[in-house]
Amino acid sequence: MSTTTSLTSDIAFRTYLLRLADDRLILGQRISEWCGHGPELEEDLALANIALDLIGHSSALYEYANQFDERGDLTPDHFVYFRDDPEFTNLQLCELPRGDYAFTTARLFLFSSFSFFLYRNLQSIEDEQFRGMIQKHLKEVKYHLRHSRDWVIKLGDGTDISHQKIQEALNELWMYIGELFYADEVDQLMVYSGNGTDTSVFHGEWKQLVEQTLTEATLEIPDWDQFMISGSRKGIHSEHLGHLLAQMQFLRRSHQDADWQ
Amino acid sequence: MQQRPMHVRKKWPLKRPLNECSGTCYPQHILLLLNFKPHRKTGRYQDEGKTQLDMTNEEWPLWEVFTQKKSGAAHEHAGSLHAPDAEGALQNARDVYSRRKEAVSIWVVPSNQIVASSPEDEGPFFDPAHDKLYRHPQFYSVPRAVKKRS
Repeated sequence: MSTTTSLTSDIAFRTYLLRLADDRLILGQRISEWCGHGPELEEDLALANIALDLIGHSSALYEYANQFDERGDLTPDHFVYFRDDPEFTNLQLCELPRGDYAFTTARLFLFSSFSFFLYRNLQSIEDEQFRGMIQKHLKEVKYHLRHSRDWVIKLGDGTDISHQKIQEALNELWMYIGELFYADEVDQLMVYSGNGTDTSVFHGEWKQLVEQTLTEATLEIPDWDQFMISGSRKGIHSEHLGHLLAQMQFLRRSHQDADWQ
Repeated sequence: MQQRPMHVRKKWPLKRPLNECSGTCYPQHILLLLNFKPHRKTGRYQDEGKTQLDMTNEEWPLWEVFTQKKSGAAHEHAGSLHAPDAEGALQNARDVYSRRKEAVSIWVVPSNQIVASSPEDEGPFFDPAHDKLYRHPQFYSVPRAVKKRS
């Protein structure tokens, strides 16, 4: 997608926005799978709400990403429905199957805690429209963090079974969190132009929040130095993304002329 | 209904063996959350044989939700919902009753903490007011001097 030699600030901006958007879209799609299947009516609503928030965030980011695209006439629909998996740059963390409720909760917690610090640090970027978006979305991210953190503690400090399930979920998810702090020349250029943030700055804070939450939930903290998956920012994905995309895209692709109105 | 005293803020759910649960007992809801495969025919949630508990009668405690439309206004009853604890009730209330900007503040109250008058109270409580219209300020005509001033 982008090479060091030809990386312009427009391409970097577009790539940066698409990465953010793809994460939120794919996670939102995964969480939306709970709609109508939630463990409790209220939790069903909460999850559907969070999924909608995330998809809403991605939609705004896609729309803005178009402005940095050469063609300049790409709708969010194009990015969502008419790209194939190598073109998606979302984290593998987001595309893993929804799993059980403990898995969904643990993943949402890890993602939204990272998201929270990222958005907080993006508050002072140069680009006005991007900044406005971030400021608006941060409020919702805070709520996602609060909700998922609360449930991690409830499940961890709950029954033996709930404790075991959330511990297993965390252990399984652990190798996917290394990518959260992945940074390449795109990030460097964005930091340089004042529209990005160096994620390593808040790595310590994030780690502290995660450790403190898991400790409160009486959970064991997996090994920070274990093997970590990488590559998704370059379009390398697990088998799960293809299946997700097939389900998400087939209707739109088979009715190309369909109109939302 | 078996519930812990409301003033004890304890982290939910309580840690205890599942087979000791009886009546309305929190940990079973956790089971609901984790083994959410409804039975093929009955549509009920099953525990896949891990415990002998029948969870179909188990529900989270009920909470009444009061929302404030704008700062300074009274909190009005919006409805009720189920939640495992106070924080959960607040979060659920936010999702159920305020996602279209209906509120700036939310109260949640455990439903079983509300003391209500019963239908039998209607006579002694409310009937006597029927023939006492003079208790309304509108019953009195305002003196001309007062009217002028306003």
